[in-house]
Amino acid sequence: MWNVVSYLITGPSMFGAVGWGLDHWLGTTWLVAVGIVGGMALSLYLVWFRYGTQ
Amino acid sequence: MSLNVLGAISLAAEGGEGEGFHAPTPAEFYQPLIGHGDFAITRPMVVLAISVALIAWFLVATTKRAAVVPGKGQWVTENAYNFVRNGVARDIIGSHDFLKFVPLLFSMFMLILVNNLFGIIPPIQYPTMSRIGFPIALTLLVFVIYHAVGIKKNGAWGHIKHMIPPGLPKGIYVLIIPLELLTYFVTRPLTLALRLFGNMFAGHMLLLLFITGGEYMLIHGGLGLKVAGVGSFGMAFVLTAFEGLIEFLQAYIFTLLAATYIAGSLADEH
Repeated sequence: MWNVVSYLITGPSMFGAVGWGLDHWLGTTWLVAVGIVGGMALSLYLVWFRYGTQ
Repeated sequence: MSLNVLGAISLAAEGGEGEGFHAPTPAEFYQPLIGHGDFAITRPMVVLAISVALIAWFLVATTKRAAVVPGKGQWVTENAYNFVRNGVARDIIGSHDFLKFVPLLFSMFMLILVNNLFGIIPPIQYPTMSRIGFPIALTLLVFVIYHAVGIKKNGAWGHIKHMIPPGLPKGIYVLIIPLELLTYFVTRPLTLALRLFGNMFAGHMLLLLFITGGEYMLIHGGLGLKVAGVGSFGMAFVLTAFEGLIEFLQAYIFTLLAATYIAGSLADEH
């Protein structure tokens, strides 16, 4: 149950960082938000997959 | 100036009441005893050393003449040991190979608990885990151990492959692999250390604030502030009790998570 917290923190941070890097490289402004939200979605999917289904 | 206790306390907390009150700062936590600067011998170092000696003496003294019907000291030690051995190690790691890790988990639990409790015991009143170095040292130990255990069981490549849950749809692998790697190598140890550090640091700062604020208000205030000072000390009393609970809880959570990470490395399948 506490493992879930690690996933929920890592997902948005990592993909937010990737999004920020892409923003910096391509000059856009919205990739950070896409990264954070997408990262959170991915984390939630991973939590569901690992702990929610048998 | 209202007689509202919380209002007066928050006003004093901002340092805006009177020009003499200095709210406690993180710099208060640095208390060098011998030497100065980065390599000083500070009070938490001495307190940690004393706590180790204290725990060692207590555990040896209570189990020296172990009787089948335990006396008081032995009963306390047995309960603490059973709590970690059964409640944490056996339940989390599983009855097959939990015994190897009980010494580690028990030692860490006792160390963190005693050092946390020092935060509310009057002559000492310094939770050593509120200096970031100590939780980092413990976390480093746990980090090395749960990776070493996984590598010893599955081999280096097997340990890495173990991190990724089987049966994922193929397309997502590219995204999930860096996520899992980051979680196992960065986020888990980071959160483990910061959770313990943050709780102890924040709790101690709260106590410092209410006690020094209450003292200042009682001594330097008018009648309204004196009443607020009494209220502040009342809050400090409540928070000390709450802090005792939090200290025990944080020691338990640290040990629980260490056991969980080790169990995760040892797991056969998901």
